[in-house]
Amino acid sequence: MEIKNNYKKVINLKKNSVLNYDLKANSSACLFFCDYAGYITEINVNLDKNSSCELYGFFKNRNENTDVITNVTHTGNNSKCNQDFRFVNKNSISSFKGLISVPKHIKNCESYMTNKNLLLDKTSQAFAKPELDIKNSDVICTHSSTTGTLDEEQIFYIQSRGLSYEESVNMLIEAFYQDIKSKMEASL
Amino acid sequence: MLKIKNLKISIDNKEIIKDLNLEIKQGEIHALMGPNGSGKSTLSNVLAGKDGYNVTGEILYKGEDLLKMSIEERARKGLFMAFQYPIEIPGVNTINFLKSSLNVVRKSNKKEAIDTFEFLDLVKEKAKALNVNGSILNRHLNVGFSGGEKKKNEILQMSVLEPMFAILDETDSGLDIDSLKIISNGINSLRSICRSFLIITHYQRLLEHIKPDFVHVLADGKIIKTGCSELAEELEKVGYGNKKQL
Repeated sequence: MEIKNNYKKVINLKKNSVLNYDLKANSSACLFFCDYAGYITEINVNLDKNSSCELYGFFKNRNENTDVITNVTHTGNNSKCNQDFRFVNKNSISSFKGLISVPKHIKNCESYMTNKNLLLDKTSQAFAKPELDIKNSDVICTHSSTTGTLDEEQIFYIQSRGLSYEESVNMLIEAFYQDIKSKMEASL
Repeated sequence: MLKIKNLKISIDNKEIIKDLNLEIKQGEIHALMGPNGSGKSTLSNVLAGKDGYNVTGEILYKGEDLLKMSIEERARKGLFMAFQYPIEIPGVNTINFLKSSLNVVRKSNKKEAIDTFEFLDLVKEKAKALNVNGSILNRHLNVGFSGGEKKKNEILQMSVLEPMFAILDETDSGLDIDSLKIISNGINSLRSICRSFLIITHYQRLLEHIKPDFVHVLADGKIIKTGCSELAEELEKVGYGNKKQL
């Protein structure tokens, strides 16, 4: 779809999807992908000059596998993008593949990519392939991916204040994507 | 309140607590002193219910077998441990955490959940009484807190939860003089005939502010000496190295 002004949307498509966002000059978009899991979602974003895009996703996988692929291409100068995708896996596998492309003639772009994965058990896995394809040096781009398990010391601390093991785990899962959730609540 | 009999604690076949006997009656304050590595923190972790220790012997809390209780059961029955190193939990708001904690403890004591407004008033009042800056309440739990703020947050939690038995694991370590005063005033204000304390410390400093009923010296996994508060002063002079002089 073409975006010409400001666009905000929470997306929870419960099917395998390919979503194309074409941000025209001076436009902005803020997209939240949440509350669904078990599907493959491909998100393609083109950013024309002075446009900016924020992509956030959080997925709670329970006995299901979720794939997210993002392709962000800066097609205009001064374009910006921030993407942050988080997965909580219980007996599940998540896969995040992200690519930021900046062609040679595009100047002054900023693009950030974050992926965080929380594995709740030994049968869960997270695959991550954060990639940058940068053809000129006049850009600011970062990419990161972390995968971890719950911290037993944190669980002990919460339990020592009276919450059960399960309540403590749930509290830490909420905490894992709290900042994305509060961004979503603030923007709607 | 708390009765420890022939307690032995080991980790990976290494014996930390060798044979510990201790009785803390209702309303009493006991100080446990000892050099680094003498097993003080191990003891407090076992009392709070931390996993990973091999424990034999008996611990009775209010007549019940403490070792059979889960971590949260102990907390709900009024046992509180102020951590030596309070854990940072990003994404969990301090005040929400405190409210969840108070409500589960209230629920298990068959009290109604406290509503948000009532709770905010309560916490503000407690924070003010403890002279604790309320700004820490809106931050993530212990994240980016200074050493003093972390310890004050522990005492604030204690003051809100009103436990029956509180273990203070080196709460005085790393505090400046003013913070030490704030924290000891907080502890003193919670002193009551129905509440007991086990204060674990290296220094006599804290005990100048909080007068314990008993002072125990823990060394090599055993209590080697028990006395009244003068013992702490004596220790300050002779040090832990001269155990024979004690």
